[in-house]
Amino acid sequence: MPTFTLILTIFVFGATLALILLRPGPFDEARAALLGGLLMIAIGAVPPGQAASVLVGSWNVFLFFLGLMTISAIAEAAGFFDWIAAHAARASGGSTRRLFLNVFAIGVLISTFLSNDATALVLTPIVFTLVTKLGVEPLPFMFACTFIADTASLTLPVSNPVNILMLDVFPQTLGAYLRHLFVPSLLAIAINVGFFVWLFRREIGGRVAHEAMPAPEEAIAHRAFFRYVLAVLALVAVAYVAASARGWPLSFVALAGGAALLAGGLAWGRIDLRRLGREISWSLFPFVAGVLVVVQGVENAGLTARLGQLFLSLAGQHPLQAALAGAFGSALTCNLVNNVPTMMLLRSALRSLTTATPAVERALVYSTILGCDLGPNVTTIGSLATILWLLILQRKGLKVRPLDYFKIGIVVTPLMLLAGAIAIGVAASLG
Amino acid sequence: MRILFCLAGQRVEEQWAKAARLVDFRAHEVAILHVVDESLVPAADAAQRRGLPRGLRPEREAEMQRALEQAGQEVIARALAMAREAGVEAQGILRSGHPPAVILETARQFGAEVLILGRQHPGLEGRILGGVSRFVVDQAPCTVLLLR
Repeated sequence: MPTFTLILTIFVFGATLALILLRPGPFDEARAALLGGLLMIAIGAVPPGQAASVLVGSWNVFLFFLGLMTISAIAEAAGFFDWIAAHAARASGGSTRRLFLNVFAIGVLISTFLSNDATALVLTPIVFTLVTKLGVEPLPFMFACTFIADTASLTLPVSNPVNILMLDVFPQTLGAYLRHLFVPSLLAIAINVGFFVWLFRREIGGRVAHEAMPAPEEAIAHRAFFRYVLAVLALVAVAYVAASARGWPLSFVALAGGAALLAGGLAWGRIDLRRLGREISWSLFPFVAGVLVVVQGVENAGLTARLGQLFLSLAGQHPLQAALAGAFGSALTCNLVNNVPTMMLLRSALRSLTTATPAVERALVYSTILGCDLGPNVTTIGSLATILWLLILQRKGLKVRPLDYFKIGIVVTPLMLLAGAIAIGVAASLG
Repeated sequence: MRILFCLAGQRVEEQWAKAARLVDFRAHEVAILHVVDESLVPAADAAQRRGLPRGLRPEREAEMQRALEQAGQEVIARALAMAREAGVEAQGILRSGHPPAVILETARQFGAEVLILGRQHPGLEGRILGGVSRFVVDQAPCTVLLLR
C-alpha cells in the first residue's frame, strides 16, 4: 500500500471510530460506520470486490442478528419476558434479596440462549417496571440486568454476537469452547452476583408486598400462541447446543426459530408485521457492514498484523500470560472503541499470527472473547472521550447516571477478567 | 416553622419514624416532598447502547416512567397517612426532575426554614454512587437535618 493511502486509511479508521462514539449532528453509529466503509473503498484501501466478498463472507453474523432480533421481538410480543419476570417475582416469596437473585437467574438464562441483547434491551425495562410497582428501588435491579446481560454472555457461542464474530474465523468445537469458557463464565457470574448482593445489601434488605405480585398468567394475551412460543424457544435452545456441537452455522438455527415464531404469530393473528419491523434494529446491519469494511482496510494496510505482533510480544510463550494479555487488552480496547469493532480488529490480528504455539493461540482466542464480552461492563459508553465529557457535565451540577455505572464497572470487571483469564490460561495449557 | 421533608426512596416509615423522634411535627407547618428521578429512564437506555445502534423500545420507556410516577404517588400517600395518624396536617408534593435541583427549588418556593433529608443509599453514598444530599447540604438556603 502506498504511504499516502496508508495515511488516509489510518485517518478514515480514526475518524470513523470518533464519529461512532461522538455521534455528532446527522451521524448515528450506523451512518458513521457506513461512511467509513465507503471512504475506505473510495481511497482505494479496500478494492470493491474485496469489500463485497468480506460482506458476503460474513453472512453467518448478519443472518444470526436477524434471527436473534426476530426471536426476541416475537417472544416479547407473546409476553414471554413479562411472564418469566412475574415468575421470578412470585418465587421470591416476598424477600427482596431472593427477588434480586431470581432476576440474576433469569438474566443468565435469557443471555445464555437468547443473547445479551435480549437481557439488556428487553428484560431490563420489564424488571424495572415490575420492581417499581412492587415498591422496591429499581436502580439495583437495573444495574443487575444490564451487567448480567454481558457477564452471562460467555456461556455459549450464541450468548453474544461477538462470540460468533470470533468463531467464524477461529472455528472451535463446543467441547473446546466449554472447556475454556465454562469455568470463566461461572466465575464471572459468581463474582458479579456476589459483588452486587454485597454492594446493594441495604437496598435489597427489605420485604416485597406479596399481594402486589403480578400473576404470570396476566402476561399471556393468547394461551395457545404463548405455549407455541415456549415450545419453539425450548427447541431453539436445544438446537443451538446441537448446532454448536456439530459445527453447523448458528444463524440457521436463529433464522429457523425466528421463522417458526413468525409463522405461528401470523397463523394465530398475534403479530403485526409493521410493528415487528419497527422492533428490529435494522441499523445494526449497515453498522456491522461498515465496520467490517473499515477493519478490512486496516488489515490491508498491515496494521492488524502489527497489532497481532504486539499482542504476541505481550503474551510471551506462556498460555497464562497470553490469556491475561488477551483479556485485559481486549477489554481495554472495547472501552476505547466498542466491542464490535474491537472483536473484528482483534480476530484479524490473531489471524495474522503464525508463530504462536497452539496453546498460546487458544489462550488468546478465548481470552479475547472473554474481554470483548465482559469489557463493555466497565462503561456504558465505551469511550474515554465520552467519560470526560460526562465529567464536565457533572461539574455543572447535572447528575449523570452512566457515571455510576462506570464506577461500579471499574470495580467489578477487572476481578471477573482476572479470574476468567487465569481459568482460560490453565485450560489452554492443559490442551 | 415551615419544614420540608424530602423523602428518599421507598422506605417512608423508617424515615418518618427517625425524624419524628427529633421533631414534633404537630407544632410546625409541614410539606412532604417526593421527587421522581427523571434521569433514571434515559440512564437505563444509555446503559444499553454503549456505542451500538440500538436502544430500549419507546413503549417500554413510557411504561417505566409511568411505574415511577405511580410509585411516587403511593409513597406520598403513605407518608401523608402516617402524618395524619400522628396528628400532623401535612401537604404532599410530588415532582419529577433532577432530585437535588428539584429539592432546592421546592425549598425556596415553599419558603422552607428547615429541610429534612432522607437518604436513599446510606451504604453507597459518597463511595460508589453520587450524593444527592451532599449537593443539597452544600447549596441549601436553610437549616438541613440529614437523616442517617
